[in-house]
Amino acid sequence: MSASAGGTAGPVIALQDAAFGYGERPVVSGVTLTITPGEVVAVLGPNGSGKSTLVKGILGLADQFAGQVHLFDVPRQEFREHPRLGYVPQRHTLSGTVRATVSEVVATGRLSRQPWYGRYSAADAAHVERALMLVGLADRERVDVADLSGGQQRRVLIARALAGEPEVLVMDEPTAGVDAANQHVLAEVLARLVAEGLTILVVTHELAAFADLVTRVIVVDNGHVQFDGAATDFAARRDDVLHDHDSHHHDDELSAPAQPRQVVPRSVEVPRPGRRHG
Amino acid sequence: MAEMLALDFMQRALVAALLVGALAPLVGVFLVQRRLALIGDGMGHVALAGVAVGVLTGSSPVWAALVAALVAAVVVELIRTSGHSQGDVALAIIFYGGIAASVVIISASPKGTPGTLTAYLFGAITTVTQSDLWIFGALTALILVTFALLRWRLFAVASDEEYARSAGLPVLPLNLALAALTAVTVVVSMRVVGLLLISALMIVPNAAAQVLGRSFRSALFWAVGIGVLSAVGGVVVSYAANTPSGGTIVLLAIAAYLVAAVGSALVGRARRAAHLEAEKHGHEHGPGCGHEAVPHDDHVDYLHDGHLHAPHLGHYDEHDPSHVHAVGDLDAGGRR
Repeated sequence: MSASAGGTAGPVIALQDAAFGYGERPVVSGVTLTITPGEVVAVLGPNGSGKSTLVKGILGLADQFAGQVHLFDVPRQEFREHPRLGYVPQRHTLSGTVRATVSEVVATGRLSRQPWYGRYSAADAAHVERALMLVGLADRERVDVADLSGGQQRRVLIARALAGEPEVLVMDEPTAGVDAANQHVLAEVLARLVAEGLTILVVTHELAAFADLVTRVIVVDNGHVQFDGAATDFAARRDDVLHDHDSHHHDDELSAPAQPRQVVPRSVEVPRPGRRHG
Repeated sequence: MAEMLALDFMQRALVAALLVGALAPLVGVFLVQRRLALIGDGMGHVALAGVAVGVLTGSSPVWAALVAALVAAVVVELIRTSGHSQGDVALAIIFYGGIAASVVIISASPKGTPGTLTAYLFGAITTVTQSDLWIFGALTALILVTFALLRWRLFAVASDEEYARSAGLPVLPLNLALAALTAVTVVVSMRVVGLLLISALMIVPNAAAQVLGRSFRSALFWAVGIGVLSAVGGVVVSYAANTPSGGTIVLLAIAAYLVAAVGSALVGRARRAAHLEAEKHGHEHGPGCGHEAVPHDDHVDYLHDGHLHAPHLGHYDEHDPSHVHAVGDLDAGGRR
C-alpha cells in the first residue's frame, strides 16, 4: 500500500540471536534472520513449534528473553512507528458481544495513524474504503461482521491491518479453519498485496495456498529455525528438508497438495541463519 | 404531572435521571464488549464503603464514594491485567469487603440508619441535593468529553486487545480510563438508581440495543435512548407509585429489553418464512466477480443466471428479482 512510504532501503526486520516466549520460559530461541523490503516470507512449522511466538516476539506481543530485534533499523524497544507494521492476528472469528459493522472494525486500523485527540477524517474513510476494496469486501462495509463467513472475517482482519498503510504485513495463520474456496480467495488477496509492493511475513501450516507467492521459507520446529532459504531452494530440497522422523510431529502440517505429507526433521541440514534471500 | 414538576426534589431527580440514563449505557457498552458486565456491581459495593465513611465523618458521601470507587477501579484493573491465577478471588474479596465495611460503618454512625443504607443501595429520588446535581453535572461533562475523545480507541481495545497492542495503542492507560469512567458513572448514578442496581442500567439498555441496532454506532444511540427513557420514566413512576426509583428504573429497562427481544424474534421468524437460500454456491460474489451488483435497500444483490443473490451468514439468499426492471434484458449469466 505504501511500500516506499518510509523510504527504508535496509532491512525491515532484523533479529540477532533472539529468544521469545511467555512468563518464565522462552518458546523459540537462537533466531537470527533479516527480512528485506519486498520479500514474501512464509514461516512454517508444526503446532507448538514456536512459529507464532516468533512473529509475536517481533511485534512485541511476546516477551523477549535474549538477542536483539530491530524494526526498520530501530531497536524494537525504541520503535514508535507502529503503523509501518500491520498485524493480522490468528482469530477464528471476529464476532463479539456487541454489534460492529465491517467498516467500523476496519476503521480501527486507522487509529495508530491518528493522534489520541484526532477525529476520523475523509482521508481515513478513503483508506478504509481502499483496504476493503483490496480484500474484496467493498460491498460489505455496512454489514455486521458477525453476519460474515469465517473466511470473510479473516479478510476483514487483513483490511483492518491494511487501513493503517503498513509497509510490512504480518499474518498469523490466515487460512486456519478456512475452506478451500475461501483459501483461494485469500491467496488472490495476498497476490494483490504483493503486487502493491508490501513485504509479507505469513505464519502458516498450509503453504499450498500461498505457494506461488512466497519468495522465502523459514521452518521453525522445536523452538529453533530449522530451515531458512529461498522458496525455490525449499521446493528443490523438500525431500531433504522434510522427511519422516520423530513420530510426535503431525504429518499434516507442512504439505502442499501435490507433495507427499512430510514433516520437519530435528537434524535437518539448514542454511546459515541470517542469510538474505531475495 | 404539573404538580410533580413543580416539586424541587422532582426537578432535581429528573435532571439526575436524564444524566444517568444517558451516561450509564455509554460506559456500559465497553463493559459488555469486554465481557465485564458485572464489574459495575463490584465498584458499587466499594463505593458504598465510601458513602459509609462520608456518613460517619459528616463529609460529602458523594466525594467519599468517588474516591473509593476510583481507587477500586484502578486496583481492579491492575489485578485483572496481571492475569494472576488468584485474581478473581482477590476481586471478590475487595468487593465483598466494600459492602461488609459499609454495613458495619453505617450501623456504627450516629447518623446512619437502615433507611440511609436502603436509599443508597436502591436509589431514592428525594435524596438528590442541589450540590449533588452540580457535582453530577460536572462529572457527566467529564465523562462525555472523555467518551467523545476515546470511544474508538476504547472500542478497538475492547474488541481486540492483541491487535491494539501491536498497533501501538496505549492499552493499559485506555483500560484504566474505562475503569475510571465506570467508577464515576457508578457515583453519578447512586442517588437515582442505587449502588446495587447501577450495573443494570449500564448493561440492560445495551442488551436491548444489540437486538435493535445494526452497527456499534446505531446500537449506542438505541442504548442511550432506552437508558434515558427508563431512567426518566422510572423516576416518574417511582413518584406516582411511591416505589424505590432504582428498582422501578431497572424493571422498565428490562421491559424494554423483553419488548425488543420478542419483537425482533417475531420479525426474524417472518423474515425466515420469506427467506430462500440459493442452491450450493461455490462462486463468491464481489466487485469485479463478473456479475452485476444491484443495490437493494441496505445491501447489494448480484445477478447470477437471472437470480438475485444476496450474501447472508456465509451463504447466499435468493432475493425477489422484481425490484430490478432490467433483469429481462440480461443474458443467462446475469451480464448485460
